[in-house]
Amino acid sequence: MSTEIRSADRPTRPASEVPVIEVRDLWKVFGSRADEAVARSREGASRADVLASTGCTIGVRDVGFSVARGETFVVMGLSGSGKSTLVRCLSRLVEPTSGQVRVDGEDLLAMDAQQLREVRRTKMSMVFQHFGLFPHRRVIDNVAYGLEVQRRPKRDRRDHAMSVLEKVGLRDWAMHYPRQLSGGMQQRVGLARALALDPDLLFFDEPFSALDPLIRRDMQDELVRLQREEQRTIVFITHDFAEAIRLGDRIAIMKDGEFDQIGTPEELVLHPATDYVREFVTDVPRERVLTARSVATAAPTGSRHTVSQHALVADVLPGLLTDDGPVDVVDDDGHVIGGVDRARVAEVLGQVRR
Amino acid sequence: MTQVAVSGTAAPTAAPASTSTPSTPSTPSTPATQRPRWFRHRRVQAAAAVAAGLVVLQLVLSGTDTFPASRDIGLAEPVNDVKSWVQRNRDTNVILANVLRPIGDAVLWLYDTVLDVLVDLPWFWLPLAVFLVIVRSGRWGTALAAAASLVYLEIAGLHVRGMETMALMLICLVVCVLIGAPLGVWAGLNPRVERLLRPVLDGLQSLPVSIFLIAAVMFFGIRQTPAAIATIAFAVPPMVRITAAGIRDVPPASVEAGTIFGSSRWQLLWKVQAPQAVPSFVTAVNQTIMLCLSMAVIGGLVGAGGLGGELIQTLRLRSPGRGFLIGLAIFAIAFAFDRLCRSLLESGRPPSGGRAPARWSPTRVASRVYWGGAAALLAVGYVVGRAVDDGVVPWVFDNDIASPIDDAITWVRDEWGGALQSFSDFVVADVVIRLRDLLGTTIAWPVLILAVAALGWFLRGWAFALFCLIGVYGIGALGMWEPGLTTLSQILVSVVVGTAIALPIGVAIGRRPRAKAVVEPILDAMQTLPSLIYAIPFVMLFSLGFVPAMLATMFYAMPAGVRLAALAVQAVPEETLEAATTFGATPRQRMWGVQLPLALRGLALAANQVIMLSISMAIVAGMVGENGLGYQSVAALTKPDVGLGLEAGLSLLVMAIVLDRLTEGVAIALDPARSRSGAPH
Repeated sequence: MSTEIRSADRPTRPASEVPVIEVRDLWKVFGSRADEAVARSREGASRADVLASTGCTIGVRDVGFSVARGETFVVMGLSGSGKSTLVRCLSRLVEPTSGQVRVDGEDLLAMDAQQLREVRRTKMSMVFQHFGLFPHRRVIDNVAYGLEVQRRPKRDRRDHAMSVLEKVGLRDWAMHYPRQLSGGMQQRVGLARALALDPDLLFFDEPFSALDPLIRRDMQDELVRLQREEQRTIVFITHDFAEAIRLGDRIAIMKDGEFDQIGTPEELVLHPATDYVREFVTDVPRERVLTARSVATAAPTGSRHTVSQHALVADVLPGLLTDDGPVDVVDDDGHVIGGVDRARVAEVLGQVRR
Repeated sequence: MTQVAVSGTAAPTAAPASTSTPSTPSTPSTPATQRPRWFRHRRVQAAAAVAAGLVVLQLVLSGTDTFPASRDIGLAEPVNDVKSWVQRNRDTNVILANVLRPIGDAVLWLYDTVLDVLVDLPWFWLPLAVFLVIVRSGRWGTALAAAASLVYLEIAGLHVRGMETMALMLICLVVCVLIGAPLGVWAGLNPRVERLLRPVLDGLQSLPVSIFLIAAVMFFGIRQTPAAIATIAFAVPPMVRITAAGIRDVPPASVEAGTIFGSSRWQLLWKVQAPQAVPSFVTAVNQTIMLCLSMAVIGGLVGAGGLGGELIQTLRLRSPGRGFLIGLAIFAIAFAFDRLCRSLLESGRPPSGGRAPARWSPTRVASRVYWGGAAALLAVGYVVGRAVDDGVVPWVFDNDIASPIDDAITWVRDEWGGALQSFSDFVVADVVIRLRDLLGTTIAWPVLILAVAALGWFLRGWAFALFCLIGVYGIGALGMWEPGLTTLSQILVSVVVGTAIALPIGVAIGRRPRAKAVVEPILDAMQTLPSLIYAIPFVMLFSLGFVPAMLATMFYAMPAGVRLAALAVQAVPEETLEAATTFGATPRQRMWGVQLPLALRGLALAANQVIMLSISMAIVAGMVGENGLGYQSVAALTKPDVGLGLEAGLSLLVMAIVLDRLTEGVAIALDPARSRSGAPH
């Protein structure tokens, strides 16, 4: 019953572990009078006011979060919300104006070019919206690029690249050039290129938005599969809330350069912090977001059937509808913490479209 | 400029009509009601007042003499003094002796060395080499044609002359690449460098050819050195520009990907940016080759020898047959090198679609074998070729063909001489001379200057009006008023006719992709031709004079006009046209009501390009019988008279800038987007 439960059935992590990436008070202001713009914005001036008075555009405004090992953190925002700028600040593709970015506890912004290069080579990589493949290199040399700049021997890096290509199912296309591949296949190459470095931290900048819907779905499944096999730490940027829900352990809703709310999909649905967040969550199919724990009534039903507290309502529902009885919800240790029956589910889902 | 000039002379009764003249370019397509209010009222009224003022001034001043010689500031003398000072102190002055002279010596040494190597090549060697390179891209026909064109050079008996030109061209190319490529890469990587370089490049590219030559002659005397220096200064800017654009246009995602995987700056440049800029780089080299060749030919004027020198001589001796053969040889070189560059572009492109190359890149292995084999073949060819007859081509036709051509031309002239003559007379007497008289005699010179300035104010604002005022007066002050007027009237005539031919053709092929496929290769071929080539057929028909000069100018400038006009029409979004069709517009309505109005700005820019190219043709025109600034430049270069050359060159420069900015102003005023945004809704 818990087979299709993506994220929520992960054991809670020890709180002491250092987050893979930790961001504090991050600002990015475009323009020559950046400091002034930051000051004005802190005083409460709107983005438009700051632009009018200083000529500076605020890309990222006072953002903070941290991502634990193995977690998928999704930043969801519409175009112009600053999400692409944010992800570029995390790797210093764009130099942040102020704030702190720590990767594995090390201060990224304090590093010199050499150290930064070292971190990029060993700890992080990125998948791009428009793939960012090198058109002049064969697929295999695209994938091997990260190893090539580290001066690994050619045979070595090609063997490795080949094994990664196998993982994404593109072995037979290794000697082609990117332009000879379809969009979906190109993005698989992009993914393989990022995975080839075996990074601790993966950035995804709207990787699937340039693909058509069916292929997008495919790629999302692929990512879920890869995540199940080897859990990587991911910061995933998207403008598609359904994608965010599908992939994210936690989601940050970004608007006008700042985070409106950070939370698990369930938290966002149950307790939207702002009207903006509420607008996104109204159309979300709740049974795919809410867990058994959050819908359970206090009283156990005494049923023979039990489900994990992390099970999604959508997964519990078929059982409730076919079997007769309600089910009990158990926590990670197997203790019953409450029960769910048809009436309760109907009540919760009924709130969806008020 | 003509419009105001014409309206100014149209007698006082025509004054109301003349007032609206300056605004006509901006009104044809959009109904006046859509014009912003200020455009209809204040500016038009101001323009009317200015025009009326000019008419009054003209009435007062009518009968005034031409620009008085007393106002000549005599720039030539001090400049010539500088030149003779340079000549005198060549060996003693620190800078001259330690910087300029070594540069000159180095260029000359380089030239001699390259020339020695080239002259020693067996006759079939270069054709073979070119063939082997081109055929690699799989184009047998092109490879054969390019090789054949170089063989022609040999059997025409132009081995030595051709090699002289090629040597000059090649050393200029190498220096241009050595200077231009790194600068271009730097500018492409660093926007600040680019911003710094841009005005310099703009400046260099707007200078007339003769200024480069004159400046080079001033410091390097005559022969190959000044020709090479001028060529390099002339050809480096496009090299820098195109290379920079190639680096800059590498997709940002590609650069970001390179960065995030931990490339160092060098790795990023060599593994990501440079490889993707290679096509631009080859295009830049191709452009540079063509410019170098074009300049190397013109370098014949300052004694650089080669095909250019020979051609200029035949122009003087009026032996059109031989001129034709030499012209063909120059074309042959241009053709061969152009195809060579294109084939490099083609074989360097990664495949897109279709079959994949076999695994583990057999192409690379094959390529090693191929180039190895080619090199071996060329080496053997060299040895064998040298052994047989010192590599001299076994058969040369030379005069066997030149004289029949001469005969044919004589026959044509005899047969149609009357018609040609009367055409020529008509153009000269009834068009050019009349226009010139109108500008120079009927209109008083102060009125002409003020009229240009007024137009400048109307189209570009006060600062430019001031420039016009000083610049146009300056032409007179340089003593170039008369030749300037002559050049202006000739250019105006060839521009009007050229534009009238080029724009409709451009519009037509822009609307029909199939016609474009036919015309495109012709335009390609025309744009590869060195400028001097254009003069040859017309000189053959008309001998030297106004008419061949103008025809050459016209045909030289037309291909770019056609191409830009086609682009302008094509740039109108397909969707907009579909919208027009959806609302039931007939094809005719769609063209006149939607496509052309939206393309107006582009069309004006096409006309602007025709004007600019016509001015840049002045020096060639001067060689074949234009007798204005072009002639002055040519005369100055052959003497050489640096002062005179500088005066003529500066005058051409002023004329170019004024006409450029004015027509650009017309284009801006015609921009449909501008009038839309200015309309009060």
